[in-house]
Amino acid sequence: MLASYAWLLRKMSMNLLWLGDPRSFDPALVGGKAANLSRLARMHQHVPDGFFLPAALMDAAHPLDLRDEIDSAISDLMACHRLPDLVTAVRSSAVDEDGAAASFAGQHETYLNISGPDAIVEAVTHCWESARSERALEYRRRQGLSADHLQLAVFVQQLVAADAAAVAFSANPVTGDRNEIVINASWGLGESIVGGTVTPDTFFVRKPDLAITRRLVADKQRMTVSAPRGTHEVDVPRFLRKEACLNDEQVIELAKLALTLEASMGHPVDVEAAYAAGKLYLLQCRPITTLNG
Amino acid sequence: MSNSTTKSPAPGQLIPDQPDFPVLWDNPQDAKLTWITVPLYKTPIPPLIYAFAGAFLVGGNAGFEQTGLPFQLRVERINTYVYMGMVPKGAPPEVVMKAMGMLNRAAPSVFKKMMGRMGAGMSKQQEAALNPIIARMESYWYDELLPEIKQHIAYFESSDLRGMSLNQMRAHLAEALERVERMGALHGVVLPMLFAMSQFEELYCELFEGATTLDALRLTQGFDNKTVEGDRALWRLSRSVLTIPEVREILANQPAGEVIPALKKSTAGQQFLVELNTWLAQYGQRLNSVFALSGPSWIEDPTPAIQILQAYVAIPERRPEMEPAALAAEREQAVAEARRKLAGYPQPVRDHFETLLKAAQIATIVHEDHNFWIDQRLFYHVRRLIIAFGERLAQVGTLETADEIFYLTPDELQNGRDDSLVKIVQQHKAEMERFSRVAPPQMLGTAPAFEMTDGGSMVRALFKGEMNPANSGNDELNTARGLPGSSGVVRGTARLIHSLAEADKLQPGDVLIAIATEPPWTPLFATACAVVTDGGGVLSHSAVVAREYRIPAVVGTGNATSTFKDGQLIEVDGDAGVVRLVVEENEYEPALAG
Repeated sequence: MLASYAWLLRKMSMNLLWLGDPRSFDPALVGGKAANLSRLARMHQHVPDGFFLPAALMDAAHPLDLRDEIDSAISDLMACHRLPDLVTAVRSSAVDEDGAAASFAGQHETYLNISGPDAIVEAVTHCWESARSERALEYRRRQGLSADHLQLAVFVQQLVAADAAAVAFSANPVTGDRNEIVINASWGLGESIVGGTVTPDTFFVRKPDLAITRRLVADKQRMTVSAPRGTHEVDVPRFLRKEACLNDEQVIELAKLALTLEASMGHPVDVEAAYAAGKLYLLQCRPITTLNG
Repeated sequence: MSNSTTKSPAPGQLIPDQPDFPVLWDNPQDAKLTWITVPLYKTPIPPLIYAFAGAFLVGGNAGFEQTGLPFQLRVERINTYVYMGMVPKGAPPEVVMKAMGMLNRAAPSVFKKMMGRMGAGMSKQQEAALNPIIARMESYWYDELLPEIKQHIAYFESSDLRGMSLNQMRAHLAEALERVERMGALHGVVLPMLFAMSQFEELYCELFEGATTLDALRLTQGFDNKTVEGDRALWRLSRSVLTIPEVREILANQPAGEVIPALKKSTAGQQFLVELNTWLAQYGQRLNSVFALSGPSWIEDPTPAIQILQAYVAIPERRPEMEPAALAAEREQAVAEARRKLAGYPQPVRDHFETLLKAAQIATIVHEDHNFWIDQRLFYHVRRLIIAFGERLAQVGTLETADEIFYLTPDELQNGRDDSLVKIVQQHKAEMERFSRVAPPQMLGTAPAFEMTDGGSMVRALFKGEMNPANSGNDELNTARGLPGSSGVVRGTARLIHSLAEADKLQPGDVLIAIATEPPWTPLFATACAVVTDGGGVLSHSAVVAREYRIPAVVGTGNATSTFKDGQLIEVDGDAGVVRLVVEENEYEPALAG
């Protein structure tokens, strides 16, 4: 089932919005990043499915009052993708604040590896409460944002149990070479790459003919794995440290995805992706803004 | 021992001869190798036993070959003792070896780094050779090796020793030597077997912080194998004894040697003898020690089995035959727990874990089954043919007694003139007599130029088996420190067992202390409350079987047999790997009062 059209088949909910539903393309409802992801999901089948609790809804109701809505969304999601159990990431974002600093002030929360309706409702509640914490409100006041009307959306998305996580750049972010795709990849979930605790493998792909020109297989010491109700970083077992975490076909598949996304965005992009059980998932796509030339 | 006071020879230097142990090298080049005694065989070995033991050990080189180990084994009988030499394969020339020795002395840290890199390289080579085998461990043993092993055993079983002429006997002996060498190669299964167990154990401890080797090996326990199968059958026999008062009476009161004649006197006794003989036919094809070819098998002299039965009969309550289920349940729980923890790990980690788990589980079965088929059955048959040959030579008057055949080499048996054999026997006997009064040097030839710090993952695995270099810096009073072999803490009376002949000393609840326990001893584990050995590692026979019996074990102490005396109360901590003398509280009282 393609995530991008799945929403059409579901019962139309007045409150929740599904990933890929054009109504969730509105940054004012779900936040800028989430709106982008929703557009992405409409165009590309690789995005893991999920649903939004839009800002207006979060402002009007306590998450505990939304229990029935959340329950039925979860069972829809499981039925739709034939999942025996559902593991999710629950993320909040202030729709009127997309700055990096905001994550320190309850404006952006992430709960990984959340499984089952109870835990999901609990995570949503945590998002709701931390946005209302004294620290969060103080932050908003200082930023000149409204402390009376909370502009917080929550996104519940299927969490991919990644065997390897990757970031693909459709242009070389270091040299600025637009004819070279650069892919970083490492074992486990993406946190260790993004957080910089691991030196990832690096693959260089020539854009015109998609030839892999260089493979730098790193000694990958750490990886993030999912554990009950969260994730943790562990040592990569020795036998796996110096093994390439993507094979050539995967590198090329990823390079092609980066190219497609670059074409549709009209700008070089950085793509967060993951491989789970041999399948490619698209997690995030952003324009590369630091590119010179 | 005299060598405990001699200064250890300088690295890379020729070891001077011990005055009472002059060595004449057949090939002067051999003096440049390092030769060590085999700890378990520190008594003079008669020539014919050496011929078979040597063929078997050298046959094992085929296994080394297959596993990418960087050396070849040579075996020599020097002054009646068996010595093993490791010949480095494709070794750097002597000059390089010497230079490495010098570097080791001059810049130990640089040398260590270099050796570390060499070790990693060797690991890679060994893993490349062994991983394909352990990935198919089950079919490797059951389909590729075991059928051939059974064919060799069937060959020995079907040979008509009574119907052979003397010349046929000679031909049979030559054929047997070749087959024993081939069985030595098949015995090479111990390499992938130890490798699988070792690799699994290392991965487990790497994946789960704070996990111990014993935690890891819990996932491999509780499978049926030929050792526990035979022991349990003997235990069941003891349970049926408990229900037959006449038989129980005999076993409880007669000395072991009198049991069989006493049983023969009653109908119930005779019926029980039929059962006992059925057990012996299946599990009694064993000698008291692997190469103890000059001693009787259990079929010839069932005294060891009777003694163990007597010890079992004295235990009305314990039910080891019920424990496999508990062991298996504990195993399955540990496996499920590990899988649950790994559920969120990358696929390659989960796959590798499953591959090694399966291989280690099969390997644990092979660890015991290969003993049953090769170490025990093969040498049982070899003894049979040697004795039959000896009896024939005694019949025709070439030898005075059948046993004298052990004092002849195969060559002397094939080519020696019949009238001179008795004289040759006397010479060999005199030589053995002379050297039995000498403490053989631990090491001959040339002292190693440097110590191998890391020989790779296969060498690590070997060290966890019987080849564990015993703990030496052990001088704490009344304490022996070794390695955890099997979980649990228990107190019991120390009982030093040097051979199965002393097995009757072991009373229920005693601690069995030995240099190493050998495969035929395992029924004793049902009587003992714990096992302590001087040698061996966590994958040695003693440790593997102790885990199957759920009794604590401490292995590789180096000094347990010299630290403790028979009858002392000791405490064995199988988790910490420590054995201590228990000082009774009332022993303190006089001191406190004074």
